[in-house]
Amino acid sequence: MKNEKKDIVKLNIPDIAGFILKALIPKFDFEYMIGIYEQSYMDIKRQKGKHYAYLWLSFQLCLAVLAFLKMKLNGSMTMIKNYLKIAFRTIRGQKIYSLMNILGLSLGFTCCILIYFYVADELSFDRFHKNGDSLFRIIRIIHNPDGSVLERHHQFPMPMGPELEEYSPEIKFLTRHKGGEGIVRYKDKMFIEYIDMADSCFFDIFTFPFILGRSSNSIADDHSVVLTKSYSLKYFGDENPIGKTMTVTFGQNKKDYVVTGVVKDIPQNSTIQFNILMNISNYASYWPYGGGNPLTFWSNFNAHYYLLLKQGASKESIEKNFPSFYEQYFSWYSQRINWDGKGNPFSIALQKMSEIHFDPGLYGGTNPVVYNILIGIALIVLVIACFNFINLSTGMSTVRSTEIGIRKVLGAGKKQLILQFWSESLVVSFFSMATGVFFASIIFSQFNEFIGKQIAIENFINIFTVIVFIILPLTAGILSGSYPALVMSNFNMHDTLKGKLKLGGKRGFTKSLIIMQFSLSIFLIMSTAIMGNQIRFMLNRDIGFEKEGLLVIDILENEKKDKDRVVDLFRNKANQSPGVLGLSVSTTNFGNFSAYSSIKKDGKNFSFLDNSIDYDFMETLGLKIIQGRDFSREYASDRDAVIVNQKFIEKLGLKSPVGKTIGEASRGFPDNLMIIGVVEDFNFLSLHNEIDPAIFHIQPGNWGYRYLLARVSTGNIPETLKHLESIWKEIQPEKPFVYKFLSDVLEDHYKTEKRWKGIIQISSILAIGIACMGIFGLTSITINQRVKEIGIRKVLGAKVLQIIKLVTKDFVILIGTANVIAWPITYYAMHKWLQNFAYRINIGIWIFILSGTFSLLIALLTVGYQSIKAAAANPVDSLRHE
Amino acid sequence: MKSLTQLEQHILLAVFHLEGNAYLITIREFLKKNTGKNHAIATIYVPLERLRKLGYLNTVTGGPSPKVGGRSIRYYHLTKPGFRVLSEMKKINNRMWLGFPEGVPIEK
Repeated sequence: MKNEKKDIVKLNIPDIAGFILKALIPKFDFEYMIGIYEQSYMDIKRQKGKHYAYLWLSFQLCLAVLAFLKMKLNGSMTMIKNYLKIAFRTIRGQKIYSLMNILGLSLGFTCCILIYFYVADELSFDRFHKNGDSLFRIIRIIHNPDGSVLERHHQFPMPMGPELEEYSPEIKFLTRHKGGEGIVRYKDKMFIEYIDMADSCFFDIFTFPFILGRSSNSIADDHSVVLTKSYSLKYFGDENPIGKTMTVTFGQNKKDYVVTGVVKDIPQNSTIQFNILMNISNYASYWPYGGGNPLTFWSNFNAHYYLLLKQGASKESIEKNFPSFYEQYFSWYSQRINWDGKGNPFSIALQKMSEIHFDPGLYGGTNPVVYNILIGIALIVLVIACFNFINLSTGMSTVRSTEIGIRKVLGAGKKQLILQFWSESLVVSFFSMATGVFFASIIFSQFNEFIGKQIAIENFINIFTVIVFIILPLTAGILSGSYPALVMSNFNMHDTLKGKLKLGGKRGFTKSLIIMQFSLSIFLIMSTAIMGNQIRFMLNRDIGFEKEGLLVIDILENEKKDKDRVVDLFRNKANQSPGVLGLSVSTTNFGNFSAYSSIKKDGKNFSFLDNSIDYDFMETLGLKIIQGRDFSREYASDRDAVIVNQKFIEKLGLKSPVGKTIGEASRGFPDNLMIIGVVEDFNFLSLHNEIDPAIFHIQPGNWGYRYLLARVSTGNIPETLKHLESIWKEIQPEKPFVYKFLSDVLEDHYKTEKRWKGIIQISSILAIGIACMGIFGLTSITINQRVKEIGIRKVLGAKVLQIIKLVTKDFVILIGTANVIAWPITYYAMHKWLQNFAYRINIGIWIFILSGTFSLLIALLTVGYQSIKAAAANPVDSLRHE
Repeated sequence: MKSLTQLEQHILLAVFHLEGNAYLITIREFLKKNTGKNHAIATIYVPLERLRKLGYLNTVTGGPSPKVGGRSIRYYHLTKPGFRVLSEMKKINNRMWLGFPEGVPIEK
């Protein structure tokens, strides 16, 4: 009974519906009308369920909008019909003018729609988890000795999980998330896959719906595996995968796993992605680096941690225990790095799941600047299109002045004229929106491909989207219609009918709008050019070695002895193959060097890239030794020798380095390695970064090598590849042949820049296109008005060229001004963008000149066609008056 | 006498038949039961307002009622002019319908 009462007080309809009703229903009746809606809504909800009630309510709202509009407009309905009729007539009567208008606006809306979905998708990241509010990731905030924040990380050692769970009773579930590559096999299907691993409560924390199997305990034991739907199809096709066994090989550890569940494909707007998931205990079999069980390594910060708080527990209440947790479990860390600063070297904190995607400093985060730029671009294109509308309707005003005059004579008030112009602009705007939606739906799949996402549009079909799609054309229509509406309704009745109307001052407004349109377009064009140049520069720059024809082959073994065996066998066989010019080995994937070591130098840490390579490495890559010599098999002592790069010597300030040792050892680095040679600097990372100091040695340590590097002759790559693969199959019949070309790896570094360039390129084409449509329409209007003038000039002896000059002169001046405005803005913006790169181009003056000429040329072409037509016309046609 | 649409007629009749218990929801249900048409809430509200302005209906606002979530209900009552207009309509209707057979005559 008590419950029921509470229910009644709570009775309500969704906020958004209340908002709409409030706008519709007269104030006086609102209170009681809302009650009526509430009761009906609740009745239906009780009888037929929430979704049905929601549907019913939206339907009711639609009808309410119609009914109330009808009521409010009761008297003026006829007038509105008339406005619409006139609007359609104007659109049909002025074909070029309306075409330019509608096409421009539709393109603007297309941009906006696409970018709306992009941004909406970004904002929806990680919001689908049911427990969203109490879902957190654990992060690590690393401090400087003075207590300020140095940087943040998101990884923690594996054994921390169980300890933390015991330590903090507020945690309901806690999972680690990690994974690695393994070879997955079912019958004759064999692929290398990234396999994710997590604790058994993974599916209690995250909401990933199961299609087959149960979510609880699906990965509780170490031989169960959960697949996504597409991966289940990939391996099992139409068969029921539940209970089937697939073999997974990590290094030499081969094991059978039973499929216990299939989940829906992970939505792409999820930070946590997996295709194959198993229990984290399998991480021990994956671990390729030896040294015992990785699940007990406190010193290895490598696992992601996610947790679900108990009901009622707050972020703060659990965070306040973390310092003492640190004392208990991480004090060894402070000792190891000889921490002498304030507090702890790092503190532990929680980060809300839904915030991860918007934190650019950590894994899974993106930079919000990206959305702002995208929204900015969409708005620029839309604004250019709206300016078209303003310019064209202002241009038309002289033509329509008689119409306005007569309307005024017949008693039309200012308000009615304003309404008429607004209804015209709204008709155009909504029609453009419809075409815009049509365009957007056509190119949506290409757009998805282009931005490298799969936006699931059905997630965003909701009342909010509908409102945006109505508000967008409404604002655009009202804004772009307001200038003609407010100015033209003010025309003096007498002047308009006498034909005395002069638009002296108003031309200035039109001109400034054209200047703005072209400034924005030129800005985008120049940005495209500069970005394109920078990317070309990075791809073609001499990076210190020959990257063409360099193959990186994954060894795919865990134990050092297996790796060595593969390397030796492969080297022996491949060296005899005619297509292979050189062969060497490296520990890290080329282009992604990331193993840093450091030494103590004058009491300071000096860090550098630490690369284990093999004999012939320099030769295979084509690097130049500028002092000393390369590693040689003839000197046994080379096992304790290093080759350093120029940067290394420069940073340490060594003179005549050959024969010296690199310094006091630190972090378990071998003592006193002797420098036998200096290699010329080369870029092993992307050109965003400066070249780092680096050393090369031929002691791979107990981890062994990871990649084979092969230089193949560029003449017949497919055949060489086939040959290498057959060699691989002989040595490793159980494992696939995985290779990459180094040039592809390096090109991958510039993927983001290329995408950006593409986006800016397309938007600059749109911008200049729409702006040109505007001046095309405008010239056609002006030429129509000046037809008699041109005729008389011709009769009096003006040449065709002079008349073309007469018509185009104005535009040339405008675009010249636009260039002058756009140049400094572009220079400033692009200069900032180029700061992202350690190696960058200079912004040359020729880019400015070229883009200036280009914009002028394109504008002249647009204007020229019509001016030539007008100039070449027979003056008799324009002057004859019958 | 202003002309009334069929919906307005029906609403007036519904208010008459509901005898003091006429408010938006009951009127809507009454119409659904008797004419089979399922009207949206707002499509009934609008003619109700018109009828009120014409003076055919007047309203009494009741106290807060648990029926509509603790908000007050507004009941509609037929006024004298409203009654007159209905009887006028009925007369016209009777005249017009007089002699019209029940069912469709069978052709021979």
